[in-house]
Amino acid sequence: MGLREVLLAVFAFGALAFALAVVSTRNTVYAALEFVAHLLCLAALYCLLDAPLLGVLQVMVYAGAIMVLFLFAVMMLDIQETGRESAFQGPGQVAGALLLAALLFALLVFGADRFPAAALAPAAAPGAPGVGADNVVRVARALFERGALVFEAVGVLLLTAVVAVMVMAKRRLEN
Amino acid sequence: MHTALDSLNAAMSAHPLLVQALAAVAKTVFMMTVVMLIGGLILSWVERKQSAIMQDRIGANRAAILGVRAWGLFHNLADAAKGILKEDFIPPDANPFLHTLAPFLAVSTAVVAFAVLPFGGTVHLWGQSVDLTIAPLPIGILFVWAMMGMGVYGVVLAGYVSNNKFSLLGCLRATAQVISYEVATGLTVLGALLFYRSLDFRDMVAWQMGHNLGQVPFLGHLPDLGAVLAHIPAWGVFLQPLGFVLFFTATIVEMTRIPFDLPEGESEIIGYNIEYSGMKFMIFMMSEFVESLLFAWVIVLVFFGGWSLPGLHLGDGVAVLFGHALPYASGVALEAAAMALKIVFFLWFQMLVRWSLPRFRYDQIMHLGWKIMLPLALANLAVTGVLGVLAR
Amino acid sequence: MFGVGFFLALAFALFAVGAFGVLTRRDPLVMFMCIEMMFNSGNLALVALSRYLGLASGHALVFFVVAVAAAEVAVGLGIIIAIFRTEKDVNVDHLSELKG
Repeated sequence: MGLREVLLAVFAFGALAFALAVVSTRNTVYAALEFVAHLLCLAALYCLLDAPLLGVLQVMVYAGAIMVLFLFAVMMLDIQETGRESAFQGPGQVAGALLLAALLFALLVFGADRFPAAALAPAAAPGAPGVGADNVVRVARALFERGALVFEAVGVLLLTAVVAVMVMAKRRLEN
Repeated sequence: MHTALDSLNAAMSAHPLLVQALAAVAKTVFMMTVVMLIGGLILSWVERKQSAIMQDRIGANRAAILGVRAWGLFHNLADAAKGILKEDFIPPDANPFLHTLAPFLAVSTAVVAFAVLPFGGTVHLWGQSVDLTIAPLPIGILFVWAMMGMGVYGVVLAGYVSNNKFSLLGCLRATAQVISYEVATGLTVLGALLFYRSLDFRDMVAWQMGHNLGQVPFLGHLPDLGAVLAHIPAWGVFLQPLGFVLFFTATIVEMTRIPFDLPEGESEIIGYNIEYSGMKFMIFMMSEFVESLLFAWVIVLVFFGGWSLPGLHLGDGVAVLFGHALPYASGVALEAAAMALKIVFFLWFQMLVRWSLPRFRYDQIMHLGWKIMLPLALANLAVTGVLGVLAR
Repeated sequence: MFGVGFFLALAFALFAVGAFGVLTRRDPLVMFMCIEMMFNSGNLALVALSRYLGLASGHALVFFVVAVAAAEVAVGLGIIIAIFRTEKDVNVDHLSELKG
């Protein structure tokens, strides 16, 4: 087992462990922090999967911006601990959800069975994501050439979201 | 003596891997020494002395060892001793693990970002080419931004786990300010990146060294100026003057220094670090100095040509300064000196800004960030992009 | 050991954990994070598949997912804060205003 395999195992375990921690932690802020750790593990996995650009973007956008916004909202709301009430729904719902999640997992694994058992494609092959500085260029090509229309649509979506949030915030101020 | 050197040369030439490994260790040790020495020690002394000079005071000068005062340099040692010996207080309701983690997160993210900053080009040692960067990443500048984004967590954690209303309010101020200006810091650099066509700091510096203003579209075609401009290096600051001014402003907000120091506001509105004492408090202070060095470094790399010195060209084993041949080693030394001087200049300039301007009001900071800097940065980027397409 | 199957299985497990969290937690913010977790499991599968099948377009898709997630978080958090301002409570069980 080389260094890459060890790191893969560590970060894969970390991603799963922190995901479970998010679901089971009562305190919202601690759950958010565990989710940040989960995202960082995923970013490391992306880097190990020859996607350094996505790995860094994951840290920048998800961990650095989205989750900070989350924590900001949690702290601004100053949510009181919800008394003695459990953080979870009733036991029946938990059991049902557990069953459903297990079923979902089984279904996905069963479905993935039909994927071609792909061997590791050479990273520098034409059409592949590429390595090093090439990775940035190739992802940019995929993004701005084939995905140009989607890119514009996503831009419009983000703008719409910004305007929507502004409207929501403004209306409250007037009342 | 001569034989020892010869045998060293022979051993190094025979083991290329050894050269690379030693270079990696040496680069890391050098960078960490520079960061810790400047960020941890020298900047706080410079700040004391510079503010004193600007305010017509003498500044800290009492600390002495055996009567030697050394211009107040020993005050840093006294500060360190005080920080270590002071009681490390953790509020009873705070989570001790997270309370301790916060200052380390704040400083370590800033320190880690230095791994992708080059402090020179490529040097040739015993037949091996060594990049003077700890981790030469092709996406270097994105890595710096990512680490900046992670640095917010130190402040967020400090404010939240202290279990104190004032630190929570301070941390809300800090978070909103820092994430607002991350937008500005990102967008203002993009204009320069359009010229360099790379996210790698080494490529940016190489582009700036390899071009002059006469080669820039539109500028080079000006009838009389074209020939004159050909003698001016194409540094980012000449290509993107507005981008530079905006970026410099945004970095000062990012490191929450005085005109924008609302997160801590040490003189009246206390901030996120009030429940910290001793060394942990000093680590928060240190993270600010480390960030100020980080941003000075990034500004020099992106906007001021990095280690390039106009008139100096380094070839393969030869150095030429305005047409005169120089020994290669002195050429390398000149480049290093140019880089160091530029960084020192920007550290000084940051201090100058800090001690010249009064603090902004919070709504003024937000107004500046979202209603002035963001549209200006977007306009700058759009104009640069359109001109770039027209010049094709 | 670390073939594409390993990453897909990890992604599915994360998706299942996220789905479980959405279904069982009472705190809308944690539910939100669990939805993000499901997004991210999809991203992990995309990255792994584009690595093993040699497709750069998978990376572009991850970009779009992250952008959509950012928009979703902005609006979602806005809604949660708006609810909290009027209800002073963010427990999904107590949010039954629309009930007849």
